[in-house]
Amino acid sequence: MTWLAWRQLRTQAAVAVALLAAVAIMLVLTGPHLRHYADTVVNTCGAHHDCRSVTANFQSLAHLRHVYSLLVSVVPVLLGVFWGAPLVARELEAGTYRLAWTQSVTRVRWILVRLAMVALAAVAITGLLSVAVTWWQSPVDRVNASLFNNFEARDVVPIAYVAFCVALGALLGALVRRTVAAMAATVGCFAVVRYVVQQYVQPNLLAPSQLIRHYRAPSRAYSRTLTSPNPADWVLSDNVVAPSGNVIGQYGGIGPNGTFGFNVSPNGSAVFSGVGRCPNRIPVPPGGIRSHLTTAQAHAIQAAIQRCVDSFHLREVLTYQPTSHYWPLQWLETGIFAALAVALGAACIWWVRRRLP
Amino acid sequence: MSEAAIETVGLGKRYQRRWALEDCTFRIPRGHVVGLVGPNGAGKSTLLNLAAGLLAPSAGSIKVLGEQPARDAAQLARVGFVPQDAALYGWLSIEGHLRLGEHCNPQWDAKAAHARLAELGLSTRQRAGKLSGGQRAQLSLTIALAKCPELLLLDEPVASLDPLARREFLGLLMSTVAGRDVSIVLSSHLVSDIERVCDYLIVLVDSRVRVAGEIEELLAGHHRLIGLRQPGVAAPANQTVIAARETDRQRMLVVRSDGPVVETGWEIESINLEDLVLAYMGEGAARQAQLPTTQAAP
Repeated sequence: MTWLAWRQLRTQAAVAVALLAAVAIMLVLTGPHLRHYADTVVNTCGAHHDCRSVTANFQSLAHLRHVYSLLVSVVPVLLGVFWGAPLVARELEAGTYRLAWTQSVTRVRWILVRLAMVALAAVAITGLLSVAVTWWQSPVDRVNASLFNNFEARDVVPIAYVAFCVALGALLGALVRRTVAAMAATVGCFAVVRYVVQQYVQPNLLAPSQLIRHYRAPSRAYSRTLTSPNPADWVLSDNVVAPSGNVIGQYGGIGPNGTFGFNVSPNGSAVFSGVGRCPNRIPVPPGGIRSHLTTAQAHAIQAAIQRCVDSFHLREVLTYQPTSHYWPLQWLETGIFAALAVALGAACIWWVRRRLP
Repeated sequence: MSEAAIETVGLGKRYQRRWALEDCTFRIPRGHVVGLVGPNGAGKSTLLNLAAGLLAPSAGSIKVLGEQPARDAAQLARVGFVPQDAALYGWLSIEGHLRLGEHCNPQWDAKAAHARLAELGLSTRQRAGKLSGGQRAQLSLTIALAKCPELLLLDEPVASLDPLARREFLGLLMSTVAGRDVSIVLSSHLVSDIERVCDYLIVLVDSRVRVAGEIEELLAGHHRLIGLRQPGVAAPANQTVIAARETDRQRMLVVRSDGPVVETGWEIESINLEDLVLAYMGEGAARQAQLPTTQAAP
């Protein structure tokens, strides 16, 4: 049975390995230079005051970084689609299950061997690709402080994704019995499951850190006043929260578009848009608030506005995953999808044994 | 050797709401070449797929060589299956199929398989997808035979073949299994195929088994009765009427004889296999087929 499983995978595996080798060669050819450049030139640019051009140069050296990250994100889905989905569906469609299942090999053994071999090959290929790309990207992630930006395309997470996609594809193929439909369903289901896990499961597993402080009126619109301790931290949200708990603004601003809005009438009464009427009056000069102000007048207005803002007791809450959560999050995501992969694989075996054809 | 080749009790298979096979109870002893005959859609394929363990019964039970079909690898090894339209991997060469069989079966007669293909003049490097219908059927049969099965199931093996290839396939099948201790069940919708090679018959009509038995006994036990058409004359009491047909003057019955015909007024003729099958398949079919025979009778 192992022979047949291998024979059915051989050609596709050879193609995948060839593509993997091509990517690996490109990574190996450019990786060391990128690393060296990051370690020397970018690290020391602070002393020469031309960091901007150095960093720009570094980015152009690493111009394929998005392609590589995309590759690692897409390969698990592709393997699920082209290896997982046809695994059972193709046999049913072509009628060859009647040959395969009437040899001296039980159906359970047949699906077990085939599924295990395809899953192992897919895991090996994705794992090697992920390791290579992660190695290549590590100086990029360091320079750009973008540790979390490609979380799903780094380290161990893609391995669990590919195991999940292959098991999902095989099960869907067994359920719908049509290769093309199973392929489409695999992509759709994976997207849905990833969204659900990301939105509803993951946040409950590892609570993010929070920075909370009394909200201060920004001197200009869109100016963030609160930042996470490490620029590489993963900022989940930066909300301005009213005492009632309502989120009334984001990223230091008030209102849906992040603007910080005051409507000040000529008599000095003011409305903090979206929040309420100011209890104090703004000292509007005779020429109006948009006229040329002296420094003293500007300070007085700023102070009055701050007093108004203070009176509403707003808080700014920054929610983020610190860089120290990177590996726990990687293992959690990996664990979730690996467990789902095992469950789907078991369901596929059960279905093939009990429900087919 | 006491267990039957196939034994069913109340066997039924339902697809969604339609019963493809219903309430089948029969027992095929070992050592026969069994013809499974019936019109298209009668349930022949369903019955063979149940016997091969590819389908699970919806009702009743089926035992193949005394065991539940496809229960374990050992049971699978005892049964060879030649599926309809010869299910083969189109991308895999003939050689590849032989190696598949070798790796998936503990008993595998590689020598015989190669010899058989050489006899057929097939190059083992050819891909299965490029073979003709007859060659595919032969390869499929070669794989099934190389398992050294105790029971060989063939699902419409010659349905897609032209008459010459049909004759050749069945001839080769019989010469290959001659002298081997193997039971064969072969389905076809053509009686002529069955007549050529089988010694046991099962007629399947409308998802049910109409008759099953050794062909010689069936032929000996069935007769055609021809009598005058008179209102007062009933069919002989000790005969079971299978099919009846009337012309202006004559009345013609196909009967299963439970004893000799004692009542006078009936002319008794023996019956051939085709007419026997057609009689069981239904009155409409029987009438059509019997017409020439009746006219030829003196």
